[in-house]
Formats: sequence, C-alpha cells, structure tokens
Amino acid sequence: MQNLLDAFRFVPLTNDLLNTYQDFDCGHVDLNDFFKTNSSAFSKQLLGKTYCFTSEESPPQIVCAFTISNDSIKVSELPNSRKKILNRHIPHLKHMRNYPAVLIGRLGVHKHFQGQNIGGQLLDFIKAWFIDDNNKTGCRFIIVDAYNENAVLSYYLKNQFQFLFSTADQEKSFFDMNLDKALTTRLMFFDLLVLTKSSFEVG
Amino acid sequence: MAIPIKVVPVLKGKAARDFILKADAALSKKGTIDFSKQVSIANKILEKAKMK
Repeated sequence: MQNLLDAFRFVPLTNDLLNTYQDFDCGHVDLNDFFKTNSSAFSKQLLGKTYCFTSEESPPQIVCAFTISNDSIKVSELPNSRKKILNRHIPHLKHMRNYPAVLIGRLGVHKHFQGQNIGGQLLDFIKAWFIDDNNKTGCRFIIVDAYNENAVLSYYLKNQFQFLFSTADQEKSFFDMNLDKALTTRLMFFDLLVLTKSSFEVG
Repeated sequence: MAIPIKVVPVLKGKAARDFILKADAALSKKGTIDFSKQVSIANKILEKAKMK
C-alpha cells in the first residue's frame, strides 16, 4: 500500500500543476470540474484553498485533492440549564455558541488510487494538520458536505465523522426542501477534541 | 457547473440539542484517541513540502 508521506508530494493545487499533470479524474464529474475550473478562482477570492498530493512517477498525476475553508457550527436557543453547564466548562458563552471549524468543501481521490486507503490517510492528515501547535486559529470541528451516496457516507463514517443532522428529513427542513426531494449531500462533522498528541494539550 | 458548497445553517431546536449533547460527550472524551503517529506523519509531509 502506498503512503502519502513516502510516495507522494504535498502541494497547493495551481493552474500550472493542472496544466502540466494528467487530468484529475475521481469518478465524479462535479468534483473533477470543480478542481479543474473553479479551485483557482476560489483560492484567488480567498474562499477556499485547494491542496493535493501528486505522484511524480511518469506520467505525473494528481493523486488526491481537497479544498478547505474556515467555517463554524453555530448553535442557538440554548436552555438556561445548558448555559450554566457550558459556562462551567468555558466561561465565555459566546465561544460556545459558535464553534470554530474547518470545512472540507471538496475532496476527491483519483480513480487509479482508490481502494488503497489514500482517502483514509488524507483525512488523518487533515485532522493532524488542524491539531497542530502551529495553527494560527482555534479549530474544534472538521465539517464536510458529503455526497449522499452509500460509499461516500460510509467512508466518512468509517473515519469517525458524524451526521450534523440526525435524519435526512431534519436536514431537508433546515434547507426548506420538499421532503420528497432527494438530498444531494449530507453535512457531517468530526470533533478534533478527542484527538491527542504528545504536545497537544486541550484542557 | 459544480454543485455549490452548502452553507452550514444555525442549529436550532432538536438539532441544536443533539449537537450540544455530542459536543459535551466529546468533552469527557477529550484527548482519548492517540493521534501522535498521524501527527508525526503530517509533520513530515509538511516539512517535505516546505510548509512547516
């Protein structure tokens, strides 16, 4: 099994790279199109940064890519009993109502590299990156807007992500969607607080 | 045209309560998953990329 550290190179995804390397194909037209035509504009507008791992073996290829942005999970209408408990843990209630997060807006693995746990390694890398001491801002959660497809949802669940909404109908109601209409994506999250490393103190 | 990235809505009602319960449950489990190996690998990847 190839691993991200030894086999590949980690770089920001640029237009030069897209023009030089073989076309990225993760099997999703939407994702392919985003990385090829929108990711650069996203980056220039400071809406999201796209990174990738590349294989330098001939022909050079983009192995996997992902786009991340700052985001948050906002919670309102906390009952009074809840506020007291929250204040015991962290004295600034405001912080508890707006949990800082990073959003994985897009993530894809090239078809040639699927089934080799590249996606699992990639999520581990992103998780580790955001509990790093060098992080300039706090980040409690990783959010992803995952395709509502069994394989994709299973991948995130296997990597300990949870659904932000307990049911698809609940999620639809938050987006004023007709309950008969299918959800294209499901919002999921991972809580970074459960992770630890030797110099990582969360208490 | 790529599917737009969903905006995370403000959680209210049951969704808010369920989320708070999960977030609180994690408070009692903080730091319980040893991620030191993955962090070490990530650091090496970033060093190799000259992004560290």
